Amino acid sequence: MYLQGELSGMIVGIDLGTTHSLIGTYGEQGPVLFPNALGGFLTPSVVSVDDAGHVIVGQAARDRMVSHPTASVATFKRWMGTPRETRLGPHVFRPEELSALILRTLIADAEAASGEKVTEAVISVPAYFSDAQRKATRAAGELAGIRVERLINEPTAAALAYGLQEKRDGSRFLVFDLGGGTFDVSVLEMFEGVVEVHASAGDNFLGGEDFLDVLEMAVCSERQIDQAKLSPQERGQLRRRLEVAKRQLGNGGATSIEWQHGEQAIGWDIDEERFARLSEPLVHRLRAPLERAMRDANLQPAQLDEIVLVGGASRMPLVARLVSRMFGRLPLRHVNPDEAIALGACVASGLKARDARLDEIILTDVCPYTLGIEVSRRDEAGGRQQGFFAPIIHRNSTVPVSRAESFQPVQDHQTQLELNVYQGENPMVERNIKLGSLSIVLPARRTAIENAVEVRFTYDVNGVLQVEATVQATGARHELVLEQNPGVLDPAEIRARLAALDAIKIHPRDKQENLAVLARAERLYEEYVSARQQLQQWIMQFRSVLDSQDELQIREHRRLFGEAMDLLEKSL
Amino acid sequence: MSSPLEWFGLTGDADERALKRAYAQRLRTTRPDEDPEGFQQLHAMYQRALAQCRSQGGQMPAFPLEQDVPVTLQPITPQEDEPAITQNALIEPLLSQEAIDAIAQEAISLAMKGDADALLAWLRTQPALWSLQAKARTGWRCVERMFQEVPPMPVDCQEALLGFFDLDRVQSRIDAASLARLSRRMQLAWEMQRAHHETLRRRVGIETFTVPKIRSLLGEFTRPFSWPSVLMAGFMPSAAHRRAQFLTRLCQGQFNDLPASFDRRRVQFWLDATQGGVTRARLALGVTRWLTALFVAAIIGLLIAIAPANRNDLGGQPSSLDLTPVSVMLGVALAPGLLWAMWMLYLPLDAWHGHPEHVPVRWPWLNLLMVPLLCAVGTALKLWQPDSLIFLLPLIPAAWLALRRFWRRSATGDRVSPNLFRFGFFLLVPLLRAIVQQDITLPVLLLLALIPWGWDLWRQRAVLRITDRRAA
Repeated sequence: MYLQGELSGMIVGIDLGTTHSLIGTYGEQGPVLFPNALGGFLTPSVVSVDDAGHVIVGQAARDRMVSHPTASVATFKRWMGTPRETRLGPHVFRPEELSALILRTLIADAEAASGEKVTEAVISVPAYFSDAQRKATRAAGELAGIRVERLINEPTAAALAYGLQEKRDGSRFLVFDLGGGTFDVSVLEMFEGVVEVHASAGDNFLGGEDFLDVLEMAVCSERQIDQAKLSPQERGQLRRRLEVAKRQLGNGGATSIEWQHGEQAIGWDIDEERFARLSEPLVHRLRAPLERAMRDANLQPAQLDEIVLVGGASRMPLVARLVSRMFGRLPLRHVNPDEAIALGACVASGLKARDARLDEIILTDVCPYTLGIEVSRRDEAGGRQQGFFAPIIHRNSTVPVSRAESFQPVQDHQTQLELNVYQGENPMVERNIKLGSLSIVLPARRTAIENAVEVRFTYDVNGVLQVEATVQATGARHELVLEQNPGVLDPAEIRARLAALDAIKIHPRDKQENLAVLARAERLYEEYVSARQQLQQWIMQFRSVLDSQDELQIREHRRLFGEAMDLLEKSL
Repeated sequence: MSSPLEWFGLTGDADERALKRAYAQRLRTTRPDEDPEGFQQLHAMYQRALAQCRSQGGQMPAFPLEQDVPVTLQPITPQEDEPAITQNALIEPLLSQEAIDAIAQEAISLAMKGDADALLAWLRTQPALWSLQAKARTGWRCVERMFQEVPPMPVDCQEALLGFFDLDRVQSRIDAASLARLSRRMQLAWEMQRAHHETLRRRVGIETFTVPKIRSLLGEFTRPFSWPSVLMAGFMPSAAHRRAQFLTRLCQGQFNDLPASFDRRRVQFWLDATQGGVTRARLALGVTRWLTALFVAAIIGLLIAIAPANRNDLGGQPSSLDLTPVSVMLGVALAPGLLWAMWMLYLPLDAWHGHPEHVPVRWPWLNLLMVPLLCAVGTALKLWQPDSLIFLLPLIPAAWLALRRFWRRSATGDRVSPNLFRFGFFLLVPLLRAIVQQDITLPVLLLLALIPWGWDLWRQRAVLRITDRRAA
């Protein structure tokens, strides 16, 4: 019975973004996205906790970032794979749990829209996500009560969506994915239904939020404000205004912000040229992954057919300028940058479900980073130096991939060997990320040559790395379980936290709209001092209507309230 | 063996399109998520077939510099004859080698100024470096010149330069060990410049060394070796030790990388002077110190010898010791000499006895049974002459060696402060004798020697091999 329920469930595709998340599936007409309770596709990746300890997710939580900054949290995708904990009201959450709360909300939306139970998901992750970060994403899925077997790299997802939409055969293209918090580049080729990723590169700490940081820093330094002393409220308001300004700059020309700092009102003007100058260091950081991906794919800019921009932050004109300067052509914008990844994840979910209409499509992806072990080597002077990184799986190898190399212990008669597994690109291990280590007992009384050890790395399509070491003389095998790296929850912990999460109340979906309206009103109350009285009155009115529990009246009042706030925001 | 193209059922002159079609066809039955092994084989064959196709079609990959060339010790120069890319006329014209050289030259001279931010800012504004090819070639040119000239350059500039050209990665085909060595040498060359001695001082991190002191030392190391000068400089034991420490930290333990201006013999002298075991430098310094002590003792002896005559004149009691000038001289001079000789003997003994078990040593049986043998001798002496303290002579070294061995071969050995330990140990025996009336010194010392010895053996049981230790 239970098994049957599992089998008949729906597989969804989820784009779990730094700033926004989306959910959808591969339906009758191809990929479809499910709207959230407010009717939109984009659910802000923000979690907030109200005074009663109930969890609020989405637009309402985003508005609460301004009115209740200490009880709300955003951009936690950047902390995935770390054990960092966030206190929200009475609860303490790890990044996995915060993501799980987002996932739970998305799944509730999907189930409400489709009427089917969601049992499994394909979640998109930045191509450059590390092993720990991928594991944390899977753990978030488990904490949300669904199975996550497959993760799809975000640029690959975008390419899938784009490729299927355009149906262009035999073309090579580059996907430039600048999201809220991460930057990814992938070079792909499509032919005969095969989507082949040639290379991926990226920067996990570069996204729209960083451009906002740059603006924030500029305002504060220019107006002699100590950034560290800003209260969370003030900071939230400033960032919101800057975000709006940043979007306006995209349409060209100049814009200005008005902002209340303590007692004084602060005005600040910015034009596009200035913004470009301020964000120059960030633009240069965008260059490196682009060059790296092109080099790894072994292609010249002229050999690319298209450059596809996805991710909300890629709307900034300076991105288009960078791309046209590097590649000598204008990037393509046929796809909706916010939805492309989610649509691709939907296609991937269809592939996972073995949807008959996708039978022609085969996707091959790459391992985005180099995996190897620590070795010591002799330099020209004959001295033995330690801490070198010996790659076994090179970055941008097509997965699944399994490769083995043979290593010798440093000394004769060595009886133990410590195998340290690293991920990274630097020739020295100290600059790379340690994934784990394996202790190998060697047979006694043998020389180093006799005691060679074969180390095999296997990296599968789901991004799981398996390390196997075989002592060639005895055939003894050692296997490394990479589950226990710091920052990753083990299965027992996941079960315990799942129970704890189940006990936390999430605001019911049908009350979301009321909640969102109230949260927005509270945000406006914080932001616009001059309209406080008016807003307070409206809030009181709305609360009394809510108390009446007359659904029709509530709906009507909610609409009017929303329109009134629209007007207010426009006039101020 | 058939060619990769034939493996796909194609003729030798098949084009890329046909190959891709054949590959896609096979992929449908060999999906990467369902048949990982089959897919790996298929993909490897596809790559080879693709290479075959391209070599026939005259189309070359865009970055010939980075193709599967084995790792070498020196960076390989970019090939002079860039392949003509016929496929696409849009490809930008290649920059001339002179232009590349000029950019590389400028980049290195900027890096030698030591301002990484300025260097990066300059590199980023170079329009030529927006071209991927020009950037790759310039990067290689820079590395090549760095290997040839070893320009003085601080680490952050090296990192900025390599980072900008994306050459600080394992796939860059630059040998990592050579690059690490180059980096050390460039950093050292940078710090050897007079203006950056402060940086050097901070890195070396020896507290008593000020910048003027470092400058005088650097001057000293460049002077040719002469016995009087080193013996003078090394008269104080700490001076020799500090010099060796300074040299080691200067080149991070890689003595080959020390500046060519340093006098090798002088450098070697200081390193020898502080190494364990008996070396010429140690002997020379020791003899010098001992002779000086003898000289000082002679003067003191002479002074004291005059004194008793005066005391007798004052009608004091004759002293119990007969203080002749000669006996005083000998006493004062022999004591440090004797101690020094014992220390010289002790150091190799300690190193030999405390060697890790898996490393071969000489006389393995003696090494293993040293402590019980000494204990047995001590016990025998005690039984022979119960009232004499002579039994302490073998027993104290036995206990000491056992404890040292126990500590040296344990995982935490390096973390125990040896001075504190030594002090405590040598205080133990007189304390015991003073506090306790009954003579328990013998059993205590025996326990002190045998327990750590046995414990250590038990701990090392997995690697304990007596027979073939001399094999290597």
